[in-house]
Amino acid sequence: MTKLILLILVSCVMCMVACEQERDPCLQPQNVYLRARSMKNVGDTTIADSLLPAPRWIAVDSGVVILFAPKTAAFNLPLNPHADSARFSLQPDSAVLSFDTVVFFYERQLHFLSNACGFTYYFSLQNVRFTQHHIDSVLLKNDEVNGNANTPEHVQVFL
Amino acid sequence: MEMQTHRSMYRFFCSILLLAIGFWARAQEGSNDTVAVARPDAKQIRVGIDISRPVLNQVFRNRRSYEFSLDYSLPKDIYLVAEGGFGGSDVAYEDLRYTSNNSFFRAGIDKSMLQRLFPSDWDYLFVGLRYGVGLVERSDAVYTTVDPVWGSTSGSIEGKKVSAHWAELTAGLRVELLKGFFAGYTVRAKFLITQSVFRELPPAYVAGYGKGEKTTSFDFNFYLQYALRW
Repeated sequence: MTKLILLILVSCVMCMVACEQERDPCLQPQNVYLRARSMKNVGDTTIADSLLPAPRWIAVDSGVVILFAPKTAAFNLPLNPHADSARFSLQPDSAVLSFDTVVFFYERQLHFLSNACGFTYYFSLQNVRFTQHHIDSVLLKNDEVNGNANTPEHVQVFL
Repeated sequence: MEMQTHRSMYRFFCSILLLAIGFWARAQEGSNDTVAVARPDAKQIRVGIDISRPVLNQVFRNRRSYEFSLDYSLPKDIYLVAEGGFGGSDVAYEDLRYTSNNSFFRAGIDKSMLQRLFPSDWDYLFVGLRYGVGLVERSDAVYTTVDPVWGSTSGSIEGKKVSAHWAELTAGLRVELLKGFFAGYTVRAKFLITQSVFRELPPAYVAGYGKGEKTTSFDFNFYLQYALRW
């Protein structure tokens, strides 16, 4: 009886192990994004979201155009892992050929996610520079770009 | 990550359940014999090999492990246990590539939870504790990150030698199939003590412990052992 139970036990455990996969699935984002929010001053002390009519952000050095839905105030922007700065052109309304340039300066840190997901880059924002065709000011609110969604947005762009 | 934890917990509780079944079956066998038999004066030293590892090495081609055991009987049905082995892992994904090799050693005790049915009864069901040390050597790692806007980046991380320490809770049983020849299994819950040594790049698999990136690991061994008595 004991021997039979022993055999059954071993078979069960072997079956459980055999169900395991070669590489675990990656269950977390593999890229982190800078979260920007367009804002406007309402009165002297109050601020509110500024919904842009048809916003586009253009990653200048790669030529990639990032389109967002109309009347959006929240933007996720990828920072350049090849360099210590990323230059974007902001077009608030894709129907109007008028741009502002925003350059984010930062330090890069290689970060291990897991064997399932590999490595990614985290960023520490150092500075922001911008032109002022539409933009009034840019406020750096949170300098750690690390994929943690439970933190305030990284920059507020006042138009 | 949460799914992985649930799966590990499921596997651990299944093992405990199976252990309890073994307990119950043994109790049924002994139900007609209620006289407790004193421990014999005989001493026993036992050597063994985990025969599940070569099988698992074939199932999981990207990792390997070989494990051996040695135990010695002490008074009060306590066994002094030493275990060791070696192994490693090969990570050859598109975005991550390295190998790791390690040897390990574990020491601890097992305590039998059953009373002997007769003087030469060496079958037992046990719980135990272990302290484990692994010496891990990782090769240079080559990584690639993929960014849909800015393109891929590649680089390498220098290889490293580290020692990992962990503690274990164990349970299992041993059955003497033939005189001096034992078979049995051990289930283990392992808790990594030195988490910081794997911060940069934990090995996909550390022989003797499990996945390097997990702070808790569950495992089992199936041993064939030979006992010498005097």
